[in-house]
Amino acid sequence: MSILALLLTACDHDGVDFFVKDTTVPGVVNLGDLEPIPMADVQNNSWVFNGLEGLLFGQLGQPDTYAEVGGATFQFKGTGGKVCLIMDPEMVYWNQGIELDNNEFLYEDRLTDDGDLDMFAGLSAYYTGSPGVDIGTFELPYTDPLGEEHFIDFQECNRDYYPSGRATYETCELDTVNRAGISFTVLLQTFMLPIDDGVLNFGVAVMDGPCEPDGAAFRKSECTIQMEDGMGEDVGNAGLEEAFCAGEINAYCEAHLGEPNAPCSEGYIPAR
Amino acid sequence: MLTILIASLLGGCGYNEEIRETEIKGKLVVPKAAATRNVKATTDPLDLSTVPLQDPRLLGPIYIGAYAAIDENSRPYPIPFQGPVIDGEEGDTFPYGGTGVGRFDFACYKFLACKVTTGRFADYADMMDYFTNVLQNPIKDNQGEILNSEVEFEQQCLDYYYEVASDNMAFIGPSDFKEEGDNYVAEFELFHTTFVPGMAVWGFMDAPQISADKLDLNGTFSTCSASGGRTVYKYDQTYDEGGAYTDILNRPTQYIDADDWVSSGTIVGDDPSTEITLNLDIPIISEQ
Amino acid sequence: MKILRWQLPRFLAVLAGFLMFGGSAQAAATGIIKGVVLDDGGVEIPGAVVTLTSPALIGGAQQRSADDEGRFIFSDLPPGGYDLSAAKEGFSTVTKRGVPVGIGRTVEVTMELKYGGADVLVVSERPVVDTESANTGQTFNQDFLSRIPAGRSYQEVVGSTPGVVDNGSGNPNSMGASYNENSIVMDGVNITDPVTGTFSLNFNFDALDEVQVTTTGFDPEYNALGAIIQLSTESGGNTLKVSTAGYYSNGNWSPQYDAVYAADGTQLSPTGFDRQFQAAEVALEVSGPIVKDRVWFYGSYNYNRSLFTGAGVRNPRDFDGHYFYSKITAQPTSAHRVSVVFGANPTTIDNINQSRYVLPDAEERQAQGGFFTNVKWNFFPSNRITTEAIASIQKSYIDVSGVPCTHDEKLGYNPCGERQAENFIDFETPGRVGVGGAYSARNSGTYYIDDRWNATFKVKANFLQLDLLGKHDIKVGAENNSTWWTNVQGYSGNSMYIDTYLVPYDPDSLASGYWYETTGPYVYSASGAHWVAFAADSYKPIENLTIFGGLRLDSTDIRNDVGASILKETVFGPRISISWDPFADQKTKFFGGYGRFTDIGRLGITRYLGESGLGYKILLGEPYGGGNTSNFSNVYTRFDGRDAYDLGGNLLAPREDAFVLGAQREVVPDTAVGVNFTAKFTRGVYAFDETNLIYDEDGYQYIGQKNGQLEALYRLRTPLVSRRDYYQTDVQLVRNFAERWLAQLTYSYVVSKGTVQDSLGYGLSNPSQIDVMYGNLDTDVRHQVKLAAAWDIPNDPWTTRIGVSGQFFSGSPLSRYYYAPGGAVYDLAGDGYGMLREPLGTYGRNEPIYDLAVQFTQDLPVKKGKLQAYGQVENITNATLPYGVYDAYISYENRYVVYGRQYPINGTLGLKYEF
Repeated sequence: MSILALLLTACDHDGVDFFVKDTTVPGVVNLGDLEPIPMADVQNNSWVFNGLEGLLFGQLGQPDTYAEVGGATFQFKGTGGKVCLIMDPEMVYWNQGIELDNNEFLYEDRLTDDGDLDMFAGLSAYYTGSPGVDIGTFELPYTDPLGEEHFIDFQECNRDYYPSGRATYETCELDTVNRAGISFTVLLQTFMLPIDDGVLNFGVAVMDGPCEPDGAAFRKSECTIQMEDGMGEDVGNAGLEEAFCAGEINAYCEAHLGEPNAPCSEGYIPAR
Repeated sequence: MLTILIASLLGGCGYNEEIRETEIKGKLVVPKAAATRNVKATTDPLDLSTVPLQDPRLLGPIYIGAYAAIDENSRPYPIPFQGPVIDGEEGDTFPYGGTGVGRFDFACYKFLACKVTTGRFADYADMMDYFTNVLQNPIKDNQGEILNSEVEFEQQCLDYYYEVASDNMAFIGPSDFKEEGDNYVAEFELFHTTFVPGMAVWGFMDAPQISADKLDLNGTFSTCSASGGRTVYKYDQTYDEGGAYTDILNRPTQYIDADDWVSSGTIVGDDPSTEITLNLDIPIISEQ
Repeated sequence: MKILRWQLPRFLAVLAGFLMFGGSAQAAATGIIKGVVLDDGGVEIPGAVVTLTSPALIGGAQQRSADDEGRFIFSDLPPGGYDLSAAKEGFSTVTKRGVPVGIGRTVEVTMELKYGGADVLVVSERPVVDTESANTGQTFNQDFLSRIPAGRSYQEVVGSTPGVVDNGSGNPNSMGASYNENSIVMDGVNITDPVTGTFSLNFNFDALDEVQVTTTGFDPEYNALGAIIQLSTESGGNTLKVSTAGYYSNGNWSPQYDAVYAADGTQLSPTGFDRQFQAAEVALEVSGPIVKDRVWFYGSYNYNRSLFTGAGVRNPRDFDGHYFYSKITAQPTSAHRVSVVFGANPTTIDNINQSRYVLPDAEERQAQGGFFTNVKWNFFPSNRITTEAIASIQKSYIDVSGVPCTHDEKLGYNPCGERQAENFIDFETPGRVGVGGAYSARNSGTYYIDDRWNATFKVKANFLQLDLLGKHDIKVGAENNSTWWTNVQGYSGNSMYIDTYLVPYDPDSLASGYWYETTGPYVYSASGAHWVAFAADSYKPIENLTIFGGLRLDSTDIRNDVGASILKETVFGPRISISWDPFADQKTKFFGGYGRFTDIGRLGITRYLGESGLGYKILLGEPYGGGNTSNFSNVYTRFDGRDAYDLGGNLLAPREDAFVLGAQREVVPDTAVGVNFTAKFTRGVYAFDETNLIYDEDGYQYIGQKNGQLEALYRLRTPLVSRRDYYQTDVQLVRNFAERWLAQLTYSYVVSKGTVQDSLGYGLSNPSQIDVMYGNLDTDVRHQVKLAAAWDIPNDPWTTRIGVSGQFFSGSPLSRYYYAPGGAVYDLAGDGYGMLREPLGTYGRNEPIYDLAVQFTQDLPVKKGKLQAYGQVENITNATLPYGVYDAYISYENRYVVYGRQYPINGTLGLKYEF
C-alpha cells in the first residue's frame, strides 16, 4: 500500500529542490578593515588585480534559517574627504532582454547565477548589527518629548544609485569631512543568492576620492572590479567577463556556443 | 439594536484588545479674520488696488495633527516639535495621528485641479461665483473657454464621475463650518490616533493664493501637489487631478507661507474621550 | 493565500429523501434505534428478545433483551435499512422491516406484541420528524442521490441545504458564514484543510453512503462557524458486489457565448465561440466479505477527466483525477469492531488559469492530491456503553507550476526545447505578464509547492439510557489534533517582467513596464496544536421532551514559521437545546436552542505574521536598455519581505452565537411541513487595520505618516466591530421517498449583514470607511427556493425514474466603489481601490439566478446482475444568468459588468452495471 501511495504522489514536488545550500559558505560574514585605495591607483587601473590591498573579494551563502537576513560587513576609517565605495556582485551584468528589441547584444543574461547585494553605509557607532553574527541596520531610535520612540535612518548612501538590480554593481559616495579617523561600517546586504549554487561571489573596494572625479579616466562600471567571480571554479566565467569588458563578447559567445556549460545561452546568435 | 445587546452580553464581555489607537473628537474654532483677504477691487487689470473681503470660501483646507509637543521657540509661531534634522531637511514631527477640515477634491475641470476644497461650496453656482468674483480667475473648461453655465458645469461632472445626480459630488454641499459670533466653528475627529496622555493637537490652514498681479495662480494651495492625485486618461487628454502632499503633517513648516493661519495648540488630557477645542488663532503675516 | 478555486460545472445538488436533524448524544456517522416492547394493552414486556438485522450491519444479527421497562437500544449503527423483530414466549413475534437509520439520527420504535396472536410482519414507519433534535440542516442518502440530478461530488451536494449558498468554488457559504468556515468530517475524522479551512480532498462519489449537512448543530463533538458536513462511507457487506459505471457529459452543442466586458462596457470577446465542455468518469467498486459477518472490505476507484474552456480561451482546462478509497472493517467479537481506511486522490489540472489573456505557454499546472489513512476501534463493553478511538493521518499537497512542455506540436502549446525532455517543467525562465494575465510570456513564471499534514487522535464514550429522573444519553470525548504546513514559493528565475497598458487589456497601448526582482524562493512553515474536550447529555425527563446540554472546550495554539504563537487561546462552546413533542406521537416537534461556536484558527492566518517572505524590488522601465549602462538604478520600491504584518493587541478566536427556534409537523404519512427561524451573530472576525498612514477627513488622501515613512503597516486584529449578523426564516415541505415518489420544497428568507463576508477583511484599514463597511454581505440573497422531486414510474422491471431539481436565488447585493486618488484601502501608489459612499451592498442588486435540472434512469433487465442507463440534462432552460452570486459587479464607471455566466445546457449519459 505504501508503494501505491508513493506512486500516487509522484506528481508531488518536494519544495526543498529549489534551495541550494552550500553549508561551507556562511551567510553572515565580516570582511574586516579595508584601506581606502588612493585615487591615482584607481585611475591608472593598477589596482584591478586581485591581491591589492583595499580591493577585496568575498563569498556569501545562505543564512542558517530562511527567515534571517544575510550579508557582509566591513569597516574603514574616514579620510576627511569624499570616499567612494564600489561593489560588484557575481558575474557580468549583461544588458540583455528577454525580448529581442534593439539590444546591442542578443545573449540572454545568465539568470541562474546572478545574485544581488545592496549596499548601505554609515558610522559604525550607528550600526545595530554584530559583524559576522547578525545583520542590522543604521536605524536608531529617537525619543520624542513624550517618550515615544521613532526610528531614524542614519544610513548615508545616496539613494539615487542604489539598491540596483541583479548582478549590478553599486557605488556610494560618502562625505567624511570632519570625520577623519572615525570608523564607518559598510553593509552589503544579500538580496538574492544565485540559483545555480547558492553562493554569491562579490568584489568590493573603497576609494579615497569622489565617485565622479573631475576629468578623470575612472570608469565607474561593471568592469571596474573584475574577476569577482574568480572564487568559483566555473569554466568560462572569467573569460566571459574579460571578453565583455574588452568589447569582444560576440566573438567569445560564438566561439563557445554549444559547449556543455556554454557561457552564453543557446538559441541566440550574434547580431553584429 | 437587539443584535448589539446580544453581542455585548455574549461576545464582548471582558475582551480588551489593548490597542493604543483611539478616536479623538474636537471642535475647531477659526476666527472670521482668517476668512478675510485682500482681493482685487475691480476687474481692471491695470488697477492693482485691493479691498478686504470676508468670505468663508476663502478658508482653505485645515490640517490637524496630534504631536508629542508644541515648539514655541524655533519659529515666530508655534509649530509641532521636530525630531533631528537628517540631510538638511526639516526634522520630522512624527505625528501620532491627524485629520483635516476640508480636503482637495477634483471638480471635473483641469483648471480646477488643486484649487477646490471640500466643504466650502454650496453648489456649482457658488463655486463659479467664487472664482469669477472673489479670485477674479474665472473657471475655464478643458478647451480653455470661460465657463459661464452651471448647467454645463453639472453635466461635465455627471459625465466625468459617471453619476446620475450631484448628491455624490464631494466638492459641493453643506459647509463644514457654522457661524458662531466672530468665529467659524467645525467639528473634526482624529481617527485611529495613537493616544499618549499629554500629547498636543495642533493645526494650520493653507490659505489660497491671492495676488493682484498673478491672477492665473489665484486659488492654488501650497499643500496641493499638481502631480499628485489620480492621472486621468480621458479621450485624448492626459492630466493629473492633483492631490495633497503626503508629508504635510510630518513637515508642516515646509508648507506654511504668508496668509496661512496656525493654531497655538491644545494639550490632550488623560481621557481621550473628552472633546477638545482647537483654536486657529495665529496669522502668518509674512513668510519667515 | 491561494484559494482553491474550483470551477466545476454547476451540477445541482441532491436532496435527501427524508429530512434528518441529527446530533443528539451519538457517535459520528452512525445512528441509534431504540424503543419499547409493549403488549396490546400498552403494558411493557420485560425480557422480550429484540433482534436487529441489516445488510449494513457487520458482525451479523444483534440481539438485546428488553429491560424491566421493556426498553431496548441498539447504537453505533451504520446508515441503512434495518429489520427489527421482537419476540417473547406466548406472544406474537412482530417484525418491522425497513427501519431507516441515518447519521446521528435516533429512531424510536414501538413493538406491539399480541398475547397469543399470529406473527406479524409490518413495513416500518418512517418517521419524518426527529423529535429529539433541534439541529437544522439536511441529510442526503445514497438511494436518493440516484434519483435527483446529482453533482457527482459531495461538494455540490451540500449546496442544496436551506441557507447554503453555492458560490461555485466547492466551498459553500453556510448561513452567512465564510466559504472557509465549514468543517468537513468523514466517518468521524475531520478532513478540513488545516491551512485554508476548505475541503482538502476529492472523493469517490459512489463510496459515499450518506452526506449530512448541519447548518446549526448543537452536538459539541463538532464545531464550525459554517456548516458541519459529515460524510459516511460504505463498508461492504456479506455479499460480493462489483459495480462498474461510466459517464460522459457534453455541453458543446448549444451556442456558446460569454459576457466578458471591459471596464468601460465594451464587449471584449466575440459572441459565439467554441467553448469546450466535456467530462467523463469511470467508476469501479468492489466490496464484500473476507470472512462472512466478521471481516468486510470495500474498495473504490474513480477516474475523472474533464475538458473545459473559459471564455475566449483556446486550450481547455484539463482535469485528470484518480480517486482511490479502500476500507476493511472487522468485527471479530460482538464487543469489538475495527476498521482501517486508506485513500488517495492524485490529480493534475493543466491550463488551470483559463484567462484569455494568458498565452498557452504561460499556462499553469496544478498537481494536487495526497493520501489519508485512519484506524478506528470501537469497543462495546455493554449494551449501554459504546466507545470509540480513532487515529488518523492525512497529507495533502498542491503544487502549481508552469505547464509541462511537449514535443507534440498538435497540442499547440509550450513546445519543449531541443534538449528538454517531454513533460519538462521550466522553473528557471522568468515569466513576462501583462495586465490581467500574460500577453507575451514564455513561462507562467511562478511556482508554489505546498504540503499539509494533519494528524488526529480521538477517543469518545457514550453512556446510553442512564436513569436519573428520566433518561440520559451521555457522551464524553477528547481529541488531539496536530497540523503542519510547508509552503515553498518563488518566481522562475527570481524575476518577473510586467507589461503595463494605458488602456487596460490593449497591448497596443503598451507603456513602459516594470521588472520584478525577488529575493529568491522562500519557504514558509507553520504548525498548529489543538486539544478538544467535549461532553453532552441528552436528557429526557419525560418521554416527549428532550433537553440537550453540551459543552465543548477548545484549546488551540497556532504558530508561525519561527515558532511564535499567533493564536493561543482556550475557548468554551456551550450548547443547549430543547425539543418537545407535544402530542407524543413522533409527528410534531417544537424546538429551540442556543450554541456558541468558535473559529479555532487555520494555519493560513499565520502567513500574515510570518518572518519568512518574498522580498522584491520593482524596477521601472525596460530592464535592459542596451549599451553598457545600468538601468537598474531606478528602483521604484524595495520591500524586504519579512515581518509583513504585525499583531495588533490581543487576538481572540472569532466566535458565533446561534439561536434556533422552530416547529415541524408530519401532516400526512411521510410528509412534513415545518418552519424555523435562525439567528447567528459572529464577532471578532479577523481584520486588518493599518497603523501608519494618516488620512484626510474623508479617507481619500494621505497627509502624513506616523513613522516618517510612506508605507502601510498592517496589523491583524479580531475586533468586535468586525462582525456578521444573519437571520433566516425557512418554510419547508418534505416528503420522504415512499410510494414511489419524493418531494421537497424550501423557501428561505434571509438577511445577511456584516462588515466582512470572508473570514478576513480589510475594512478597518481606512478609518473613515468603518461606518459604511457594515452592510449587506454577498450572502444577503433575500429569497431562496430549493426544490427537488422524483418519481419511480411503475413500469417494473423496466423501471424508469425521473428526478428534477431546481434552485432560485433572488439578486445578491451590489456595491459601488469610487476611485480614491490619493490612496484608499489597499493601494499605496495612488489610483487605488475604491471607497464606498453608501453602506456595503446597498447600491443595487444583481439579477436573480435560477437553475433547473432533470434526470432519468432506466433499469434494463439482464440475466445476471443489474444494468442501469442514466441520462441527465442540466440547466434545461439554458439560463444565462451571472454564475453563482459573485460574478457581476458595478465598475468604477457605474456600469453593471458581468464576467461569468452560468454554464449553458449540457447533458450526461451513463451506464452502470453491478453484480
